[in-house]
Amino acid sequence: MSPVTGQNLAQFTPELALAGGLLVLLIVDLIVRKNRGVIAAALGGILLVALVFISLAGNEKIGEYLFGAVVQDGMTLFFRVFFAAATLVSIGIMASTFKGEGEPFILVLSSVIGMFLLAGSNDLITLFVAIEMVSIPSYVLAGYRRKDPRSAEAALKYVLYGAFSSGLMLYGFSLLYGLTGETGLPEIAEGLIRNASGSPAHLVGIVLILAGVGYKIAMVPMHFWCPDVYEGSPTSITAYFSVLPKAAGFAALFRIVPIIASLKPVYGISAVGLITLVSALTMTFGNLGAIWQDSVKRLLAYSSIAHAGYILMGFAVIVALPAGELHNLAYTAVLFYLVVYLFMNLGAFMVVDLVERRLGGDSIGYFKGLGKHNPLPALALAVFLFSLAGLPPLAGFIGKFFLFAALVKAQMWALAIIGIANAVVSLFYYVRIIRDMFLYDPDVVPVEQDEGGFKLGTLTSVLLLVTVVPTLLLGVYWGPLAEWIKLRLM
Amino acid sequence: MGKLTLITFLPVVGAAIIAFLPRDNHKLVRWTALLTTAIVLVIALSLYPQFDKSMIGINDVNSFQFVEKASWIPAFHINYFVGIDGLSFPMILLTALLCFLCIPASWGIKKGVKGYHSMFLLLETGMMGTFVSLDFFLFYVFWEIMLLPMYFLIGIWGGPRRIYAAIKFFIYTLIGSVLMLIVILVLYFNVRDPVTGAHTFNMLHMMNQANHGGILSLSTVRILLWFGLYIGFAIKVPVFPFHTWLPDAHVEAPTAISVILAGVLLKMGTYGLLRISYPMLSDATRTFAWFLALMGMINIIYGAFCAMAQKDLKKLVAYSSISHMGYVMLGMSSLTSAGMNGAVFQMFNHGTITAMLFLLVGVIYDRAHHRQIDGFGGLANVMPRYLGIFSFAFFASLGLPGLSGFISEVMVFVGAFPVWRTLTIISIFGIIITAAYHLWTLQRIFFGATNPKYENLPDINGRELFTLVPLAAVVLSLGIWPHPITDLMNSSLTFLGHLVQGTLPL
Repeated sequence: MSPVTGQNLAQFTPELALAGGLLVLLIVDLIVRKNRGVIAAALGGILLVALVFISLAGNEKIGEYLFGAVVQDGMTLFFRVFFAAATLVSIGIMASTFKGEGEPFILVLSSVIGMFLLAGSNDLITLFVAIEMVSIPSYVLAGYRRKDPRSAEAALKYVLYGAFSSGLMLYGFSLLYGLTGETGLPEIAEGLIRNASGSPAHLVGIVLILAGVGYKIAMVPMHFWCPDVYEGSPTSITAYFSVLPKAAGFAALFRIVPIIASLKPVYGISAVGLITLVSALTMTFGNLGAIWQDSVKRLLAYSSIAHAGYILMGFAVIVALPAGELHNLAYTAVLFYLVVYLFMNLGAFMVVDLVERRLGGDSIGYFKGLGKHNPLPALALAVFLFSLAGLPPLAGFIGKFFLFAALVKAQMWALAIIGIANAVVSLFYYVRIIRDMFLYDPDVVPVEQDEGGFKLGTLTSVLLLVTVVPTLLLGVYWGPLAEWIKLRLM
Repeated sequence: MGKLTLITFLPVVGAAIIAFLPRDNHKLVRWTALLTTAIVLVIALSLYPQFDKSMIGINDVNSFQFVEKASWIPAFHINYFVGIDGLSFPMILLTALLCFLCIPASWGIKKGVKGYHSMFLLLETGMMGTFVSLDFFLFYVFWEIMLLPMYFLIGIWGGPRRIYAAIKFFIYTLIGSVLMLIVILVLYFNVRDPVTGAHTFNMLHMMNQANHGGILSLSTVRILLWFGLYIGFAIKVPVFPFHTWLPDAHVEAPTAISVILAGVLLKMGTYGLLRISYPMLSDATRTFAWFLALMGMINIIYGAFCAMAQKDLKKLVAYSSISHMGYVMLGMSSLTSAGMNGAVFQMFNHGTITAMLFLLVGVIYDRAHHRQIDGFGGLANVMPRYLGIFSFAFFASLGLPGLSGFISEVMVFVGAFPVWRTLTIISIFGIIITAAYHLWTLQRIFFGATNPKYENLPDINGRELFTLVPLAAVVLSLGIWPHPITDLMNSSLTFLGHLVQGTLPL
């Protein structure tokens, strides 16, 4: 618990670099007139690549800083690298849509500062501030197409639900503070175990916090905003929404694991039971919702709800067993799944964005016959969808394999069986898109059709490779990544 | 690089090469595919003289042959571990032979030639990989790899209701494999490597009951696991009542794909039971052997009656497959040496015979563009050579003495009779029904008044004969002298029967 010194500030190199880079970006955006988006994306890209390396270099510095408000450990490191890499891919996708506008990139990067802070939050206040820092730029991003009523609707829904859930979360925080008189997360957990574990206020506090964080990860029943916001926002921004703020929500959830796990059953409601229930509901609702969708964007929105449910399965194991080999296995499973999800989900949204820009829409009809007139993007999308469905030998299978392995080892049979049933249901709607792409003839033929399909720009080709290759590779050779994650948890 | 790795991954290399060939050069694509499958066949055959027939395999790594082992994912103790014994080797030969013959049988494919052949070769990799895997994780990956190409092969190149059939095939099979996945995980966490004490995916360690621990010591758990595996494999066989995907898939699939589906993919189900359920959960297998026998009997009788009722020739052959796979189930349920050998020999024979049948259906469909049994009549005068080979295949299928199917069926009945007397007697009636629908079909297509529409149908051509004659030769020679195949498997299967019965000579 040392005060702020120069040495301590050094721990914030990534955040400081990000903030500094952001200021430079703002000024550059004011000066240049043409291609503002391309320049902002390029600068942002360089910044993020640097951030990946800076974050990786932070390996050794384990400890608490700023009076315990911020912690630096393996988890912080993992999430910093994750956020930087995912944002890098996201702004690459956005660069095709926003060639002349710099603001979206600036908004995304300012949101990333919040995520970096969130990754190390160790205190209720830091946690809340970080979550709001992630959310507020996102509201603006959702409504970026001011003149499109759907985009405006998306932004409004996002703000209203966001404010509501923040309120719930704050109330939950205040209850925990009231019970323990502490704001530091580890201290609260200790205090709860000592004094108040099993009191109704404890339960209510945790439920409220879960609701607040659950909003970020689109956990049932706090998911209502998700399909509308995803559908209304510009597709490249939806891609970003579907991965980054969601992963940020999970980062927050990991920080409060000890608090959730400290709950002793109240009125027969236990922490594990609570997580198991929301996990089962989230994946079931997401998958059942996705079946009926006609818009592929909306379908992927529901699918991302379902994937949050899968990740929560691992989370249930983490809460059930607060330490030990299995605890670490579940942690590895969840973090690994996030990495896999990053590649396959961003990749899928990228192809949807491509189709939407070239053919004019995202309803499933536009995908009919895509395999015939544009084999490459169709093939890539098929890989992403099969991976999302969890078929070997793709990365999504290994992700699910890890999660189910943790569940089976923990002998949480009911959740495992619900999860497996969900995986089968999900296959139905993923395969429906693949079927339409390859087995049907096209409804809409692109006007400007080049020989062999759309002319894919260099950037799109590179991004497709960057997402397809890990999706394939992590399916057959995932050992090093799993090991790396495991070492971060030591 | 070992030969098993070669036969497993050469096809996928061929598929990759095809992906880079020019789109319009169909000839080059076809010849590349043919060359790839031919090399695989040659390598598979070259294993034959080196294969030691007295080595048992099954649960002993030292008596597996052509073993290759390399660490794949050390953190999860997953290995690239392959090898063959008397159970898998006949299946390897069958797969290599059928895949090779299916390429010329696909000469008629006109659309998406590149995609078709890439998918086909990928499928071959999946099949070979499944038969050679000795690591359960590896096995599962290959098992699933078969699924995707099959979905596209039926869904893109199939008949009018191809999309429905492809989805149905996909969903059924996937449910089965997902169940298998749970079982794999339970086994993984409750079986320990005897040397290192770590969890293991090694199938041979899983077969040794001494390595089982944790919840595997509960008999209810073992029975649940056994049924989980059973459903997964029964869908593939397919055993009644999981069979409904099969007729749809067969009717819609292109000829060559029907051949692979019936010839190899159905064998995956019974192979899985023998390779996995039998040795790993031998106590549950012993307890439920009667159940396997009962399902086998139902398949035989039910399949034969359904076949008799069909108007579509291809559907008839599909149902006859269900019936014939019933013999396999009945034979293996007896756990006797004759029954087990008969079952695997029947798997091999059904592969060759049914492949002929589907190829023959393809021949007539390419000419008349329909498959209604009653729509022909009197073809004997128009296509005499076709009649010759068609009746040969039909007689082989109904079990005429002198042809290979007869021998395996007799072995099955001889093996099963002392163990399941009533069920075997009922099953034997299946032979009569089988003979009835085969002969009745033959009569309706070839005899009677010639349908004037088909007076000028060309007789079977050289390319078609090229695919059929090797199979006919195999069926005939094994019918007279079955030892080249039965000797391969005898020691392994006799041992497996004793292992499950718990009557191993020490």
